[in-house]
Amino acid sequence: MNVKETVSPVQMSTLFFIFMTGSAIINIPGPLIGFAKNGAWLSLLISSAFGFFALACMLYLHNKYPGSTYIDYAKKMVGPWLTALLSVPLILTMCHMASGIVLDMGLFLTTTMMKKTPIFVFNAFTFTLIAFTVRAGIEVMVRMFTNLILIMLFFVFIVLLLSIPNYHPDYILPIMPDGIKPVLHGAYFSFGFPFAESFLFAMLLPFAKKNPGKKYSLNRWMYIALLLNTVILILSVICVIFVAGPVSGDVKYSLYMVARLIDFQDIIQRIESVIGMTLIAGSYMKATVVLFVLNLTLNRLFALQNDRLLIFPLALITLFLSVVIFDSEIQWFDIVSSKWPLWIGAAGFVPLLLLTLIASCKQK
Amino acid sequence: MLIRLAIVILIIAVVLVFDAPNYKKSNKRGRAVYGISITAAIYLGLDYAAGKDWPDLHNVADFIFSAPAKMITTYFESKS
Repeated sequence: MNVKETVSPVQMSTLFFIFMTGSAIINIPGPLIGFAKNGAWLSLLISSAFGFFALACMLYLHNKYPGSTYIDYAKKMVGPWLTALLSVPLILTMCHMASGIVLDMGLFLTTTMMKKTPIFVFNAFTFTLIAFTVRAGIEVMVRMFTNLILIMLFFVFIVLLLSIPNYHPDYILPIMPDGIKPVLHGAYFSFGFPFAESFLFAMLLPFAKKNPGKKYSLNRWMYIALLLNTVILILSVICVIFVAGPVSGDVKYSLYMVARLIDFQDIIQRIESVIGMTLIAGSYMKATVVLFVLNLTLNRLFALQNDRLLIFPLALITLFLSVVIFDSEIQWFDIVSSKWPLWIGAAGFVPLLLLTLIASCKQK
Repeated sequence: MLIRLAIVILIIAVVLVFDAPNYKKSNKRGRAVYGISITAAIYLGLDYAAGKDWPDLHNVADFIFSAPAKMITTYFESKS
């Protein structure tokens, strides 16, 4: 594959970190604590193990087939027709992912701030921005997102720091009052979002520049990015438990709730809007990466000459999907918490695992 | 419904006009894939405009994943 744009290994790992952390840091804590209670941080440790395993598979395949995307080496290993068959659930999964990310953002805005505005308005503006960002290319994306993620993390850490007076460390105990099953339930949920979603980067790794002087630099930076992502998610979950204890699981945007409680010297108050900003920025970045990968997948699958031809039709599909798939909060929560881990596992994680096994058998 | 239909038609028209130069330069394969994508977008747009909950991705996901997902979550929610 002739890759016209390249990014450095550090930039690729930054993009990976942004993708994994972007919207997860706001969306994960509440529902995860709802499932796993005080053992939510253990759930993250368990699901992150699967994330590291998926990353190991991707890097193994990337090193074995340098310069090739997931679709390219799948075609070499199993042939074009089986690749096309494996790609159908993958493409549908990515359409759903992009729609779901923007839908979550739209739901946040319509439930917390602008309740009378139709959700279509937010989704349409967001997808317009996403489509133009994807058209700009991966180099522009990485440079812009690096600044955004630094600002995001700065605000999140400020919120966690200013919440220290509200912390009750004793809220973390007992860790597993109902046994291991709630922790496993939380691990099942967090496997689906965000760790299993990391398989998308099997399509993006060829964009990383090879640095002849440092053979394994991409591998090392990618593992560091995932480790950092895991640590930050665990930290935010623990801080939310420290603040709200047993009720953390009943609040969907728990970091937003934590930010609301900050009252520092009667000067710094009601700073929850910065968490709203981080959610929007994180969702925008993640959805952009998903749309970019979706476009790239279709281009590689059909060997299209113009890699920008499908961007706007795909943005249209995901925009309209984002407004038709939502029936109710309960239905949406059910899809995200119980069906999505299975869906993404079957469409992305399992085929990646199969290709890794085939590649390792071929080597022997 | 009419307002939604008008918005859908407007958005699709804007996209078609914007993509017209690229579409003309594409080969047969590119045009075919573009045509399929726009058809899917039109279907979903009409679904949104009509508000009738036509079959979509979630119907497929429900059919395939409902039963196993329910088994998994029931197991996790049962007392040890």
